[in-house]
Amino acid sequence: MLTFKQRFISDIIKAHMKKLTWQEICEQHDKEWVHLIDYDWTDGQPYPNSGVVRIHAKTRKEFNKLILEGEPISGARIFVGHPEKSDDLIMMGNYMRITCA
Amino acid sequence: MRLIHFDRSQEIPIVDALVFGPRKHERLRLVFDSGCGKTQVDTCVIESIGYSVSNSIGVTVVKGPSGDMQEGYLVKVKDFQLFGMSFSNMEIGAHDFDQFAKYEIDGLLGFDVIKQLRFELDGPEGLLKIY
Repeated sequence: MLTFKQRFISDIIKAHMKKLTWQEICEQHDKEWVHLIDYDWTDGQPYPNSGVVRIHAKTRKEFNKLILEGEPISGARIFVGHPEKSDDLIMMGNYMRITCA
Repeated sequence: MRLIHFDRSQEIPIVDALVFGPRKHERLRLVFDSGCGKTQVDTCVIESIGYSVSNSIGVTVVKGPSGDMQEGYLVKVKDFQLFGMSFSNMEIGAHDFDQFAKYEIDGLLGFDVIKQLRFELDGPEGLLKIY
């Protein structure tokens, strides 16, 4: 549940920023991290249908900095497009073990 | 049955989830990773929704196949929603995902959650069927 202040700020952002389709977001923010508010996301689909881009940045470090500096407004974090692939790099997210120290 | 579509052009399977904290909630992209024991989210995301190390219920260390170690902490998040299911007070590891900064993920959906699901993965169709 948003507080009055968060709702007020969110409403101002929405009023000044256009809601874009996912295709438009892909065209305008390729290879960027975006924070979407007022988004539509069909259940079970990998990408949203549309949304208002509140914050965007080329790197996740910069993106996280902007998120932490900004008002705490709920939204969706998503990277647009696919990252550059390197032929000699295998993407492996898994960690084998996690222990309580 | 719930059908979850994933993008087959991605190198790894990525699903989205909602994580709720005291400040706000965020929709995240997590790797569907049965090789990871515990669900982990980037520390910055955990902090942005309103938790910090002062809310931790334990310090954690993760070890990868290459032997690299990284410290983090465990927090109980208010709610975690995935595929229409809700996991209240779920323990999540907060770890820096700086190594994955170039990639499109904010964390790992671990086997602690995956083992609670009945599912079928149809790779050629890019579908995850949740029963």
